[in-house]
Amino acid sequence: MILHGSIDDKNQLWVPIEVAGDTEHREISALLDTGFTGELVLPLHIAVPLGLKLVGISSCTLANGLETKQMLFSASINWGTQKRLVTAIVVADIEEVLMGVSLLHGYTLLVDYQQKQLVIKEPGTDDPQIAGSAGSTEQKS
Amino acid sequence: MSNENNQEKRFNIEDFSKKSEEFYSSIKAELELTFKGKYAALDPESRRYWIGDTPTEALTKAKEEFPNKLFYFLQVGSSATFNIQSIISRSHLKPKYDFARQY
Repeated sequence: MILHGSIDDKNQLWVPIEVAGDTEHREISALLDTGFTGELVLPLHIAVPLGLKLVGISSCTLANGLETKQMLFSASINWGTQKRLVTAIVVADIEEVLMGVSLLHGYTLLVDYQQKQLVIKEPGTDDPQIAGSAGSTEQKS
Repeated sequence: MSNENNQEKRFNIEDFSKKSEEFYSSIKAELELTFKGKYAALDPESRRYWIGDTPTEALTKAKEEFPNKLFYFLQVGSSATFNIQSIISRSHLKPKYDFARQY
């Protein structure tokens, strides 16, 4: 399947995903952050209603070089044809959901800043052409 | 007594991290020889570890044996498991370090 995200006026990349915990699920736009090596960062106000389960601790290095210990939570996501478990870091004071490069393992990412198109090819999909409208998904035959 | 007992314990992230990193130090050479770049879920109590291409894969393997435990995650051979280059301040990150849990 070919997935389509969007590129905003600040040239940031956005990807639609559905995130679920034990109590709720929610469709969100995640900011694709190639500087984040994990899977998902969730703002606290989004994570709490979902009912995510704490699964462990990990160390994180922030942009200023500070190393900090973070709690990791388990969430499930629907993204294209994939429903999968992910580990999410929950952060108190940010607004955006961050999608990290670990979620792109095996995928092909195509960014066309001239046409403002973001295309993500799922593993096993042929012919990753830039085509289609932003913010939607389409089944490739 | 089972590792997954029903007694409530005080859980402290720093203590748990310290014990986990001590355990990792004892197996670091072995892991880096075989699994460099992969992710590990460590349990310092049982001194067991599970390896995966992602933290979630390591977690899934660990949960098959200990469904209710907390694990310490690291990337084998890396000083920190994750980099978050879009977050600068520690104040953005969840500050509460002590809490009670059951497992």
